[in-house]
Amino acid sequence: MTVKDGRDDDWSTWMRAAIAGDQAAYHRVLSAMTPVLRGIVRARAGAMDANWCEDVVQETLLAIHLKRATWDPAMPLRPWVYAIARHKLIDAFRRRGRAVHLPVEDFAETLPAAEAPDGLELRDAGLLIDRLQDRDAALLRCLALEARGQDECGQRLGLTPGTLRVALHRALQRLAKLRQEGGL
Amino acid sequence: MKTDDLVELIAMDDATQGPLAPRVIGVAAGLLAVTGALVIGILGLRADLMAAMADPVTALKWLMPLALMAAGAFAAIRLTHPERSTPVLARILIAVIAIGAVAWWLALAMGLPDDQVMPRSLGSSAAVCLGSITVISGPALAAVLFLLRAGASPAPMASGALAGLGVAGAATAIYALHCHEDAPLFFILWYGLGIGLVTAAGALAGRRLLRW
Repeated sequence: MTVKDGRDDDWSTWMRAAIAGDQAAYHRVLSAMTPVLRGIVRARAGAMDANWCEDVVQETLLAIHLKRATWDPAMPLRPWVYAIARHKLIDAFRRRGRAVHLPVEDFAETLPAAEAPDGLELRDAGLLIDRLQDRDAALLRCLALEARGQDECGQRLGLTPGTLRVALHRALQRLAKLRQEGGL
Repeated sequence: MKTDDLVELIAMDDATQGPLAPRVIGVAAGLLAVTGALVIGILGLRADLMAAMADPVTALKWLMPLALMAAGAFAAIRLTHPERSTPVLARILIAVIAIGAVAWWLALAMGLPDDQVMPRSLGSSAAVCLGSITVISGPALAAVLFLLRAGASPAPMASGALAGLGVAGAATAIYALHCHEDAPLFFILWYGLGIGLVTAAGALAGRRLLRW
């Protein structure tokens, strides 16, 4: 129990720093969450395959990002993260035509799962990104798949640092919306 | 896209959002003030407003809608947090007012001769009453629902209904500044219907708009 509490303090502390503008802390907390989310989703996936699980993990990460203002920094972060994961899991099941009952109390007991499934990147390296508008797609591909810096991507796409940040935020919003509507 | 790539992208996005509650309340109050002033400007204040507010029964025309406004607004804002549920206090307050109003109306109706219940309930301004409550509510409800899309409601339909209840409560209290019909048979029925209508509209819209 003490170990878990200790980890939760880390998550909450990192997230508070992230909201204050510390990008390294944000990366740290997102990276720490990812295997935990993967474990939660896989433990409840039933007959769904690993790609489906990874999609739900990604949708949950996007929701955590886009809804992070709904976390009260005076509260521990984990219950809020579990609530988002539960919501996204139920949503994903419902799109497959399945109603599920998922008590949120069990979420804290699930073991993390570190490794991403093999072949996922082959399956859709740009599949979802392709469905975004051209500019959004080009920006996300440049930043993530080609892993070029913000400066280089900005130059290539003719964006100033300020407009690139706005464009990135909008692109992530549209990506989340596409995933929710498309049920990919 | 690999999950690690997505994490990289997300960590690069430092767009910040301020807290939602002050924006929601500010915009709702502003729009209710504007549409309320327009409607009351057209219909006029009731002449004996001060005396009406001092009468303990007539004062309920403001107290009940304002209590519903407070409960609805408080609960709708709480429900922007995914890990929370509708506050017990708000649930109790809403249930007590709804059940109390229905019981009061039935007791009054049963204490009257049959041929008087209808005319007293219908009054002379039912259409204006219903129309005003919905007109005052409309723009504020639309704006509130739009803003609440930034929240993460665990129950979108309930969030929409509670937002509708909060807005309708305020709109009804504003309309009561004009409404000169003080028979409880009238105002329980028509205020209740007006608030119920806007609450239902909020629930239906919320179910679609507040999904995330």
